[in-house]
Amino acid sequence: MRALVVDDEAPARAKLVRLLRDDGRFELAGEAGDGIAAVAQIEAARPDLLLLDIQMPGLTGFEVLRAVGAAACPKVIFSTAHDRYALEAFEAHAADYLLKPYDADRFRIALDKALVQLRAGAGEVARLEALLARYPGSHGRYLERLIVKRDDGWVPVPLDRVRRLSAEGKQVRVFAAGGEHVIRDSLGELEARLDPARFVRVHRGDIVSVAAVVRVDALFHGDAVAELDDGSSVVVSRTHRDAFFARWRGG
Amino acid sequence: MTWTWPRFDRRTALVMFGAFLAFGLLQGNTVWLAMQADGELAAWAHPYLWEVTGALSAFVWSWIPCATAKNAPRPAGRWPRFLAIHGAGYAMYAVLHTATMLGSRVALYRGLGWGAYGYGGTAFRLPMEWHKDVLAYLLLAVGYGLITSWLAGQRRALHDARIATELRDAQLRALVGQLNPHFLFNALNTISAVMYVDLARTDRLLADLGELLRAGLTGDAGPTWSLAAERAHTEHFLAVMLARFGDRLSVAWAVDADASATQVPRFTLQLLVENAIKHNQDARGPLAIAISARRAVGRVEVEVVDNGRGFGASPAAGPGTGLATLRRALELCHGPTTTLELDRAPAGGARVRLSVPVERAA
Repeated sequence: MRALVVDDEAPARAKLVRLLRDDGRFELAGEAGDGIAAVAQIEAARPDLLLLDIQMPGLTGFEVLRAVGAAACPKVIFSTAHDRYALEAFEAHAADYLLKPYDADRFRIALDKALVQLRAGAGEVARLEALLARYPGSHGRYLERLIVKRDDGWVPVPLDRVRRLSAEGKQVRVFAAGGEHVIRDSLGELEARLDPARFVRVHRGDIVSVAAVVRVDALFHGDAVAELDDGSSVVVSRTHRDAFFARWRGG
Repeated sequence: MTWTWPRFDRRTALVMFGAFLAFGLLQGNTVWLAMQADGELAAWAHPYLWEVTGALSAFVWSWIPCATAKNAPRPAGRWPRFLAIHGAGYAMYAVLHTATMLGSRVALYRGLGWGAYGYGGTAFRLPMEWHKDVLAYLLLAVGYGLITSWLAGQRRALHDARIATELRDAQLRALVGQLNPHFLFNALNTISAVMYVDLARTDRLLADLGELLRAGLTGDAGPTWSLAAERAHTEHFLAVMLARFGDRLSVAWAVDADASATQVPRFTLQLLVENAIKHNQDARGPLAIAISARRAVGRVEVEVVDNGRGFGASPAAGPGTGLATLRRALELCHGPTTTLELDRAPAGGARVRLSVPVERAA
């Protein structure tokens, strides 16, 4: 069994590495000092266990898991010093976590649990997905950015640069100020994690940023067309029209 | 010195009117009783009309001694100005008061059908009125001065009490920020890691953490301390941060010796440094912070510059309570001449500049 240690603070990594070595049940698969390096190492080294810090440069711990995808994730033990939203998510989904500072006994208990689950081969995908859905960001209830894959790796796209999100099969196409991206997610799940004051569903297949809408024209049958600030336009369907106008006027 | 007019609200004017009227009626009584004693059996209403017109004429022109008292409350080494203002004020008051009084009496006598108003020999009556007006003028001017200075004292006391409350409040909030749980728990975790490799360093880190906690827990200390003390405090904070972040953080200090004694609100630099780290913690590049303080004419200018993302783009952006609290604390401790400016550093990061007067405001 192999474990990957992810934490942006070198002393915190050193502590985890030492505790792993003293325990002896896991081999060290590697160390990563930020979220982007963590994703690369998870995909390259395929560890069985992830010791994952939450607040890190590049990507947060949760964004690392979203980037890797719940299905491809190793077993995770989270570690954090203080994050109210993370603790709520952990408690709700019985994930194991270490609260800094922790001692060797507490660390061993976490490893015991992880080993039991790894040996049982219990699939954790559903639980991890539920956890990710519940925890959007460390600063509030809603997502602050999306994590997209580019040729050079995973990068965060701040949501204030996103104009529109469109369903495209089992993926979502993101129209942002910096270009278009495709993310592995469903529009419905994404909608639940977006701030409803900023993003509103206008059609079965489209969510738009309220701030990006510059003009709305009525069509026949109660539908309408919203023009966005990049010149593109999107249909506002009759069923979503009232909710859309309430947000657009309110904002 | 510019001339300013006294302002009276409606309530004050009504109270003054009532007081003058009551005084007039009382005087009317006195004169009527005196006339009774002397066996003068003139119509009883006459003394009341005389005295009430006298008092109300005094009321109408009472703003003159108020205005002169407001603009020349004391000689203050400029006797000619003081005497000129009050001399002119008295002359104006005496002439206008007497004229109004006599005019209204003549008009009222005619209006009430009492015949002509007999005033007597003006060569004696007018000087008599003007003598009485010296007393009235002095009473009004001195009374105005006493009442306004008493009210100003009340306002100042209220203001001081409010400032004391707000300072305590600001201190309390600084204290809460001081014990940021995220910082504290991460610091403890760092120490629990470092102790296995370097006991001497662990010792130093524990001492740094101890000093930080002590500074936050000392409740009876004043809201400000010297820039040197603030630097020492911030260096304890940075020692813990440097242990956590290693090469990813570097700090350069440039505090002029003649700026070190200046008083600043406690935790000013710590707050600015903490902000710089917090808002760039998710960036992968190393963060460099430069803190400088130098003496200018009558002021000390403090600058905290980083090479991070600058203002406005942080995913950790909160409601800005830290900076708002600091701004308030600066105003309360140093008065409105303090400035706190946020902008973009020439190299692209965030820059915070604050300028405080060297003499600490009372």
